Amino acid sequence: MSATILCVDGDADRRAETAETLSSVAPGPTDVTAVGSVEGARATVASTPVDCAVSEYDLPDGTGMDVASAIREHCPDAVCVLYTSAPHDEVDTSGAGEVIVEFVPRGSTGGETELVSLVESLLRMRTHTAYPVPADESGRVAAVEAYRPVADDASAALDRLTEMAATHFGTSLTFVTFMFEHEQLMLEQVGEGPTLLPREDTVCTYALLEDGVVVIEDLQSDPLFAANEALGEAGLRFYAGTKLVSPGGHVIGTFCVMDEEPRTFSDAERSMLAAFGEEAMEQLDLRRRLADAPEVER
Amino acid sequence: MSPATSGAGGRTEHQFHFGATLPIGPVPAGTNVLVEGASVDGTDRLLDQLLTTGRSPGEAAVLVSTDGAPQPSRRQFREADNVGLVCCGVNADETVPDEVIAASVASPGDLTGIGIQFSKTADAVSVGGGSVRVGVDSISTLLMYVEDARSVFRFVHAFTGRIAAMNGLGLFVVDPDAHDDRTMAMVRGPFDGRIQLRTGESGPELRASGFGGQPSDWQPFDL
Repeated sequence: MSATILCVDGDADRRAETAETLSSVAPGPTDVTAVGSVEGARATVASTPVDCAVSEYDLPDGTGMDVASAIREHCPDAVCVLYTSAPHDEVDTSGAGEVIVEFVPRGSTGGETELVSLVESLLRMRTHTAYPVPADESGRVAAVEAYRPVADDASAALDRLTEMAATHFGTSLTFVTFMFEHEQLMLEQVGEGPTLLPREDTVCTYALLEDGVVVIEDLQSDPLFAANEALGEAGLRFYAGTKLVSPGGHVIGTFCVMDEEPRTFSDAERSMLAAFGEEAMEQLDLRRRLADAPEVER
Repeated sequence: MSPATSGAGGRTEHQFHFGATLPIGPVPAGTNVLVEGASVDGTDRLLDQLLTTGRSPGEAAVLVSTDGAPQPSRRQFREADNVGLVCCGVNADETVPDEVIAASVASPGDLTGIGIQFSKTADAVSVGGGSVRVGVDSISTLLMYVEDARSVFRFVHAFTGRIAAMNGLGLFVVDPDAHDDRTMAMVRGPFDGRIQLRTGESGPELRASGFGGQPSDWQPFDL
């Protein structure tokens, strides 16, 4: 497992020392980027995803909480750690109560060892996600990555399927997705919407963990999704989705319909959506088997 | 239940025991358990027992009380040795005995503050490097105070991960009847197992599952 870690400290010597400590995070390879300010951190994560950020609390242009807030904005799944000589009670969390950071005191006996051990554990467990991770997540991610190269080849077939589904269900948004480690990618869609979304913002992230076709008749009245700004801004109220399950049993994505109005979804519609999902999976798997097959001499 | 925290942090040989009063077998270090029940059935008293009974020498306990300080009637926790407390919404120093190492967070909605004050309290009670039992009472209160359930989930996920990494024992209370099935499925995700509490015909009963060697039926016990 490789990891990209951002180290933030206004003091150059301390920054270099912490970056050196973090470079030993196992099992590696570990890529450590070191910056000296909140703005430096913000600029880094705006262009380069990181798996973990380790920051001193007091910084020249803000605090480690500002760094953590920037991380959550750009890399919401990343592990955030305050590694600081500031006492616990000096950390002001009043403006960042939902950011969630780990706290490791700098300068204590064994502090460096604790920092490395904690970062290793939390990166392995991916514990700063705002959503449940399926049991065999690493196998699932490997499975979906194996289908990434054939997405373009399957595009025309998936486009036909989403067009047919949109007509059949009469919904404003119909799409096929791949669920990667941190993002959901819309392979094909009928209707307006972004093509790439952070995993924590999507309904499909939660649908991955449920059996059968998942239907949420009104997202605004569902406790899990009522406060989801991304859904609110898109004006989406209804969701129905079915999983794309690979022959190896891994869920690689979803086939979904959404609408701007709450609505019901009959058993017949559930069966039909499941059939669309199965057909989409077959189209993807066909392209993958063709890509894997040895080239036939003509 | 997902094995998200299982084996995390490289478990030691240490096991947590609960004495003769609770029908629960030893639990390996690094385990996180969801305690499911209604407060009217006594989840607070069960949590106090889980945190304080059968402890090995050097074992500490920290309670995160999301709804103020523990009531004076919770003597089992308040009068126990080597315990720490993180209170939300009240000044802990004014409400608990001096022997209890206490910290405060302004509101249950300050999830980041809870984590930081827990870190401080856990460091203070585990000076000798002993294992720590951590109680959180309750996730239901957090879900009431925090608008976006995803933030509560990130908190629970991160907190259980931290407990697993430190080879502790996590005991998080939730009232399953207060939440819909989808929310409960999300909440259960990071936990290795659960202890369910109910009031049976002859008194309190519990059932433990998800961590090995536990009786599979409902077990009566004294609360």
